[in-house]
Amino acid sequence: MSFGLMAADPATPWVDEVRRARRGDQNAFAALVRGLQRQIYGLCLRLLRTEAEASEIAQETFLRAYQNLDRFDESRPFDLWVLTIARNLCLDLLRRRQKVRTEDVEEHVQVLPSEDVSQEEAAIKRQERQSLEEAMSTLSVDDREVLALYYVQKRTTKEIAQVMGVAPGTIMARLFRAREKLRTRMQQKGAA
Amino acid sequence: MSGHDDELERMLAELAPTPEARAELEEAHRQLEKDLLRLADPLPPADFVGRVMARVEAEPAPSMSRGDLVSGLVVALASAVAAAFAVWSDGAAASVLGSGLALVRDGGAALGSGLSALWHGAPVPMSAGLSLSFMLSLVLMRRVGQAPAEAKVS
Repeated sequence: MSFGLMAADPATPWVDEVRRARRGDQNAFAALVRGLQRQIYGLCLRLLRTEAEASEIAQETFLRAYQNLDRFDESRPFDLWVLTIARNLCLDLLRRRQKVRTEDVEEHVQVLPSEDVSQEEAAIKRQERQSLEEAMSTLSVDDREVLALYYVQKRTTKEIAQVMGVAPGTIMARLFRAREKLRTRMQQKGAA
Repeated sequence: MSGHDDELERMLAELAPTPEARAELEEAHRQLEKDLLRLADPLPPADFVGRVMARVEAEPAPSMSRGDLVSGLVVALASAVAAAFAVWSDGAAASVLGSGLALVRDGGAALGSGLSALWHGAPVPMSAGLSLSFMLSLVLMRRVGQAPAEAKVS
């Protein structure tokens, strides 16, 4: 049976494109980039907090993925593999620039978009969302990461554990801790 | 109940010791979760894919990874040591090995003797040839086969 004639498995939609990219088909790799760019850039932006750095690291992530396609295990999700590369590059950059401290909050906080908000709700929700984003940006990298992966990217705890390299059972506790810190920051902000 | 559930329970008990406080805290977290779930990833710059592909074209994949190179060097070094030993011992050890192989393999006596004679007569060229084949095989296996994904590709 030829792989080319098989319908794409919904659980592993990237396999065909990965195989073609491995054979040097750059269009196939471009399709993979298009499919993942928002997730990768989004995670980079939440971790690094500046557009220029997020764009640079997200590009670097895809370049590393391309150069290491031979090492990708097809039985595992491609998107998680690329997310892991992005995470490692972000953490490397943060370590190099010693930006891990939560006190080091930049003044410029992005107002990131939101899903499923009608025109009427948008005006009301905008301020709340901005407050939430601002409070989130004051959290530690670990807290921002777990919140972004779980709530923004809707990843399962198992997937998050795989990306972060920790036991799946620890994720719910990490999420609770991060939410609690976020709630406290928002209360402080509200009181101020 | 697992250790991680215990940890969560401990945090809840510490933050909200009474049932009323706990209910209030859980409600606050539920509300926060609703707000968090409305957030979405931002769109990257419009020319993002183009920039990535330009870098992909400018920096093609390395032809041989560091792992391939190290494995190849280890094999080459081991073969060189074996060849040096064969020369030093005047081929005696290699002859014994060749004879053993020839005995074990029924019907392969002629091949075993041939290899033994080749090894005995020209250990260095044979070692060099074996090293080259090993290195080539390693590189090809890594290209064709599926090596486990690395958590850190950086």
